[in-house]
Amino acid sequence: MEDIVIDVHQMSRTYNPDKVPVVALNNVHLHIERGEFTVVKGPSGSGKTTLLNLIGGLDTPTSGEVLIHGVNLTSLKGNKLVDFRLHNIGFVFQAYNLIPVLTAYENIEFILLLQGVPQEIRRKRVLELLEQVQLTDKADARPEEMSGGQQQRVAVARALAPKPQFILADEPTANLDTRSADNLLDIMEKLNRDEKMTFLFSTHDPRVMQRARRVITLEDGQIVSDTSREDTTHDSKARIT
Amino acid sequence: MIFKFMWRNLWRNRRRTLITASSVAFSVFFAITMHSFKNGIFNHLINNLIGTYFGPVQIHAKGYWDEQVIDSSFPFTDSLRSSLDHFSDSIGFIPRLETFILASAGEKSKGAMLVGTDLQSEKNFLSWTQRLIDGRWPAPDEEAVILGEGIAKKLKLTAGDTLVLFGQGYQGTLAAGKYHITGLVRLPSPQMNDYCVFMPLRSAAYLLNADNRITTLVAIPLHNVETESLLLTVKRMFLQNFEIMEWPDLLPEISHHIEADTINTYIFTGVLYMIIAFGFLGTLMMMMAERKPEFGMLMAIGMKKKQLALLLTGESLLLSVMGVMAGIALSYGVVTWFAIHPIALKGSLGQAYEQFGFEPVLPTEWSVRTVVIQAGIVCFIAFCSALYPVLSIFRLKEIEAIKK
Ligand SMILES: Nc1ncnc2c1ncn2[C@@H]1O[C@H](COP(=O)(O)OP(=O)(O)O)[C@@H](O)[C@H]1O
Ligand SMILES: [Mg+2]
Repeated sequence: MEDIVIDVHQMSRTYNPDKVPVVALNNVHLHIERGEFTVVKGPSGSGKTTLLNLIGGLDTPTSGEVLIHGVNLTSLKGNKLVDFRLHNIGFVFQAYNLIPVLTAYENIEFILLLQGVPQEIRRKRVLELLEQVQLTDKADARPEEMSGGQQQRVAVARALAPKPQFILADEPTANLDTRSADNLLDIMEKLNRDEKMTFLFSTHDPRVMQRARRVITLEDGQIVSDTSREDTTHDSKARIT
Repeated sequence: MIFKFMWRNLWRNRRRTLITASSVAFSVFFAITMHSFKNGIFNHLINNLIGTYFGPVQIHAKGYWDEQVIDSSFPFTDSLRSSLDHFSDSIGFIPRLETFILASAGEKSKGAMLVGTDLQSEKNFLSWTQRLIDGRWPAPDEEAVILGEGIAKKLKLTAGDTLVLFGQGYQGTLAAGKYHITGLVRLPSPQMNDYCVFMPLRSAAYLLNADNRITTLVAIPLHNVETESLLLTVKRMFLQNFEIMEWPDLLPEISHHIEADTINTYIFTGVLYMIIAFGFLGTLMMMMAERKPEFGMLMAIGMKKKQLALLLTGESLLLSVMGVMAGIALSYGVVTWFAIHPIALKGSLGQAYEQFGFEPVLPTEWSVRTVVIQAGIVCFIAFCSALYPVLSIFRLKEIEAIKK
């Protein structure tokens, strides 16, 4: 039985359609199932960010549509869309992920506060998440007191906090050294394995690609290849669309 | 948590927050202090003139104030007297018979204001009587006068001398008499000092052929009675044929001066607040620019624009409240200090004040109303300035903001 979380349907995105049109995505078709650990790769300017933004409901396609668990994102407007993101999509950005004046603990708590989760449950959840990203000892540290890798782990914990359908991460390791990048990927992999959390992230870092079980390659706004690697320990159902 | 968040956001840029808050504090301080001085000075002045001589309310026959002649007097009958007595717990009444007259001694003569009055009531209710500088008060029936210090000097007279009064009495009769001077008094204003001659009411009525007539009835509230309620009572007692006047009409120059000065103060504080508004707006604009990527991120992960707008408005109000509190505290200290140790005006300025009948001190008066108004204005400015970040939030697109 397939459980499609992300369904991108013949989607195109053209910037500046009136002036100098830039076709950032051209007729992209893509399915992501629950539990996948997928990377979108491609050279700079190939459309990775554009694709992730569209899937995350941060941008609207010029044509085509995105369905998240059957819900058409283009049909959601304003606060409905914001609420949908809040409850269904976890985001990890390349930079500016955290609120600088809040501690690691508070950064994670903040999103639960937005969801209106009561104090006691918030506390339990935040502590649990901090443990999952191995940052229990950094609970009271502000972003400036943490390394880039630690900050990205807090961002992952925050993305995970509302138990979203999937987590989108646009070049999450771009600013990290090798060890921190490996560590972040270890944690994401573990969450994928233990929590069945679906991950979709972009990168142009070859080391990151090796860790993925499915690699989608973008070039000039088009998917030029989509390959799955059967995991020996795991029954991944990644498939070519 | 949200309050903590706002608070920490304010301290992101310590220096900027401190500068903005202290500029707010300074303008609030300045505005409150200025208003307190203005209120203090004017209330002091008004109380001085009202409490020493004019009283807050005067009753005359209709038309008297425009043409102050003895023929515009009214009868002070026994029935009026006894109806006034009904209010002896709440209102003090002083009957006066006033007219212009010629005062002379030897070769010298001078225009004067003769005030025939019930000296006992004056002593009971007004304080000018406390400044007898020489001699004694005449008895109620005595054919004697008390002179203002100024007029006595001009006529080279002192207690024990004799003064000749000459003028017109009621209904065109001739009024002339020779009076013993029992004492001199120092009056609160130089003009009064130079003109006033006081005489027991009955003696004045005899001189002016105006038996049982008075030109003025001064009404003074007693025992914390409000002037408002006194006015109501008086208006009910004295109907068509009387004019009931309050101090702004009795002292028109002063009330105009106060009005003009109040307008000046408002203009000054208005300019001050305009500067503050721009400073505030500048701070919020810088803050907005700095935090834009973060706002983009927050909106992306699920914070609504409305929530973000509320947060920013809250921060702006918090900043202004901090400044306002500091400003109030500072001005409270200063105003209280000057209320206890009023600034004394020396030299020519002091003399000028005295010339106008002002006591030459600058007292202050703390007024909750002023504080509330000034604090309200600043918070309103903060609120309006917050419209800028709020509007830009509503124009913000997540992905553009996060790119910076
Ligand atoms: N806001 C924009 N306006 C115009 N062109 C854009 C905008 N964002 C991206 N592009 C263009 O779209 C193409 C894809 O960009 P992007 O999705 O950021 O690629 P990637 O993330 O793979 O580097 C690029 O050619 C880029 O210049
Ligand atoms: Mg990109």
